[in-house]
Amino acid sequence: MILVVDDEAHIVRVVAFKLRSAGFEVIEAFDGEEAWDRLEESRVDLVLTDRQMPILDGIELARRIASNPRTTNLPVIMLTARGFRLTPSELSDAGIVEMIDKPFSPRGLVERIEEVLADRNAGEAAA
Amino acid sequence: MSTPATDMNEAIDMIMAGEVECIGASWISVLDGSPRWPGIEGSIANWRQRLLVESKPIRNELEQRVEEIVSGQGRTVELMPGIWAVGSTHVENHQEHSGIALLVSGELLEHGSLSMLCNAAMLDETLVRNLADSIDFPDGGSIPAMAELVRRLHRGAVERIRSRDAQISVDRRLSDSYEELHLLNSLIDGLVLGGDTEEFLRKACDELAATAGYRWIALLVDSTGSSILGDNVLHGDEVPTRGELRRIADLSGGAVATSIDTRTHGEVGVAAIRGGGRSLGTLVAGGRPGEPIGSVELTLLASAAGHVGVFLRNAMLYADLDSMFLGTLQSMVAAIDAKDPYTRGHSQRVAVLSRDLAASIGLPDAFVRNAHLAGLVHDIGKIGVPESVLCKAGRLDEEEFALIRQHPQTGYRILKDIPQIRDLLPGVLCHHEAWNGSGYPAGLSGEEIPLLARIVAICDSFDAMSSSRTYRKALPREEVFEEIRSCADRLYDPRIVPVFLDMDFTEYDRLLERDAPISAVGAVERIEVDRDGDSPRRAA
Repeated sequence: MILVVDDEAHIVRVVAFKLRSAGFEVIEAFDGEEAWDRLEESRVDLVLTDRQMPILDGIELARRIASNPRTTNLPVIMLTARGFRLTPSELSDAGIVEMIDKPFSPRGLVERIEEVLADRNAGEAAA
Repeated sequence: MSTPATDMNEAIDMIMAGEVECIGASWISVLDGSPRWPGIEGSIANWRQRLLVESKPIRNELEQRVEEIVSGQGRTVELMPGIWAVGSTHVENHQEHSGIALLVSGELLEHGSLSMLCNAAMLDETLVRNLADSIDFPDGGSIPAMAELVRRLHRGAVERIRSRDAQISVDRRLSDSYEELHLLNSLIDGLVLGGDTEEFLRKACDELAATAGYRWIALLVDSTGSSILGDNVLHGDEVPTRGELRRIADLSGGAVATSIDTRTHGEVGVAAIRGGGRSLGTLVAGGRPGEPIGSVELTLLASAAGHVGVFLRNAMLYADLDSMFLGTLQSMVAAIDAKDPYTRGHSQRVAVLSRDLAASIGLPDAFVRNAHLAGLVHDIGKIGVPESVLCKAGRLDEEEFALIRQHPQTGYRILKDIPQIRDLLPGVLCHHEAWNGSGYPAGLSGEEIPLLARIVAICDSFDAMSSSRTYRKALPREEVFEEIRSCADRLYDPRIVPVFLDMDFTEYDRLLERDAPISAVGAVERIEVDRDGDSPRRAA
């Protein structure tokens, strides 16, 4: 199950549509705080979140996920405006596996999510 | 692109089958005027469905009267005592969906029709009667109300499915426009004037492959486009051969974007690359086995082709401008070289050396290019020195020296108003400055002398010593090296000298041989006096 978080409803709609078409289950949230509530209710395999959001932004959400033992291994992919960069250590501290620039290719995004999940599964199988 | 109509009809029929079953009826979809009989699982529990759907008498009756029933719009038709048919047709988004509900009323049990139908559907009548006894069948009077309910259920199902389809179609379009937006955005990033052509095209192919799902992309250049792009660009795996690609491109007839079904490579997309009103080439993409190329893939291909066209056109204009500019500089330089046959080709050779030296030091491409141009024009100020002085074989007097020593400033003045070459000016003005401050015109020393000028200075001296002059013969390479080595610290930047001595002089030697004066042997040997007056070996 994939949690899609963005305060822009059309982004959530497109991403959710593409992911559902690719056979994923999707739950939606429109800010970081709502996303955190969803995470407590459901078993999520990956979080796709926007960076800039009201109430709780994407980076804070990612840090909260990384620092909570229950969710610490949850991979986070972050959508961000072009030109915004974090250092590799900031990325790994927040458990962000990848930053993807907007405007993104929905098709490319779904492929990337499939790869990240396949890597995770391979890693868990090996462990 | 939306869900195919057949899928939607099936979805509506599935909803109807479930909903009318709840009121003890059966749903028969009608397509192109004929009923589609559903398959019923052969259990006795389904006796009512089997009775309605699988018995010949009902089937025959219905098939004969299907048109009348469907067009009746909710009017009930009693096919036989206790068996009712109600037709329903709804139109939504110009698409029609029809079906018939078969209903049962209590009269079925009172007349002989039940035993006839049981026989026809191969059901045990006693068993059916036992099961039917426990059911409270509606009487014939309430059938019109049930018919109305069926019509409403049908309308609801059609609206739900069609609006779901419309929503999916909006989502799909939204998603497709994101793909295009992403592609255009990536391509626009690459449309920097003078940017690297190959890199732009590689990126364009990468992005197009990723967004539209093409496995291979080929960019075929026409003769006009080939001035910028030496060869076709092939990207991805299992690209067809050049001959095949050419044939595919020819088949498209220069269309903006079209898909062509090839026998060997499946469906491929073809888009014309145009720029400045001329055809520059063709973009061919494919490798989506089993997947047709739809309008989205073609739109993306056409967008990419459009951007590639703009890029190639810009690159061509830029190259034209660049070659015109270089040509102008070269003619100016040729005019000075023509004044003195002994310095023929000197500027060209210093240009090549300066370029190679800048590259060997590891300076960026833009600097290397400037070093080349600065080498080319460094002596342009000599245009202001009279030929009698420039070509004089004998000793120069004080006044004549002064004239020669003005050439860096003269060159600077000639070039300073051309904004495109502002960066070269230090190389022209300061190429006779010396590391120890003994040079001219300003007497700068060390790092005060711009790097470009330090590079040109060493190359200038090297060529002067390596070629024959009016006043002396060329020196052998080893002697020239020794001279330069001994003047590091005094005349040249000591850090650059070893890099220079380590360079490959093959191209330089070829130029030197080409430009060698016919009668170099006749030159007067007079190494001890220098034309520029400040050091024994510094020649102009």
